[in-house]
Amino acid sequence: MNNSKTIPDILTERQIFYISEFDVEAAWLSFMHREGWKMLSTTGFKYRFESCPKENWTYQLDFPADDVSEAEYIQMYADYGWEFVTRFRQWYYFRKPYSEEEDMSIFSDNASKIEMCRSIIRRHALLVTPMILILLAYLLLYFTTDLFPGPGGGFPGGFFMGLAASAGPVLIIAGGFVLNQLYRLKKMIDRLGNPA
Amino acid sequence: MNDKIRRVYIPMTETGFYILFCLQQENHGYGITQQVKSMTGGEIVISPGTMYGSLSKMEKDGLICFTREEDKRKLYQITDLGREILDLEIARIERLYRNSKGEFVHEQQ
Repeated sequence: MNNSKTIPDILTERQIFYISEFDVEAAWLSFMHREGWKMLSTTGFKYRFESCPKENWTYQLDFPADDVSEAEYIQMYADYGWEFVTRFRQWYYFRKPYSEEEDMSIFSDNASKIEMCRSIIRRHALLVTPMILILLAYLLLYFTTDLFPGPGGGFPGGFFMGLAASAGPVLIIAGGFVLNQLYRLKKMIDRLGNPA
Repeated sequence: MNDKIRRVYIPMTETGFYILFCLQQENHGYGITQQVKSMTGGEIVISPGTMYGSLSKMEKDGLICFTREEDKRKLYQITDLGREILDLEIARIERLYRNSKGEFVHEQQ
């Protein structure tokens, strides 16, 4: 008489996909569903799943440009048979039962996929540029003016020196990382624009 | 007409052409896909990501405009600018077609 079946198991997986890897991420989510785990949500690092029958569902990620009126946007996908799963920042996750007769991509031409890659690049460049500028400005001001207390014991001096010492590496590592991601997207655009 | 808009949209992608063509009558995203599917004998099936992106872009560029909402579906229709672009594109396709049949197109005064 027990119906423990009604309470699904929950699984949390740590996984990192970079912004240029949305297709890889979608394929992994489809794989998880075939293994009996359907996606619930993500925080960008952690993915939550719920146990479900092992079925062949296709997952797709969209990154719509600008502000989306969400109800209408999700309704449009629903019209095409895509179930809205979750949203993380500007990433929207959809899934649909796999069918051989249908095109299982949310993009039916390369031009629109290129357009999505461009909006990912724009959005991230917009986020990262101010950060880089602020760090650069700080470094410049720290070393060329007396605006901040210099080194020499105590809290304020040490703090500002530490900040200046870490700003350089942060700039190089984080900036380099983001630029690399954007470069990969750019390469994806070139590939989509000139299929070999 | 804005030269930039003209250069972006002509020549048009197949998707863009069919969307603009269908919006001579008010319609929503999925409705357009259905119409294009039946017009082309199932050969052209526009997916939702492509549809959403194209509609947003064309609305932003003023080729189409939002008319009303019905059951959470946004309906759009072609604008005068869209009409101009569509006419240019149709003339271009007609020229291509005639040339492909070996015809020459003579300069019009």
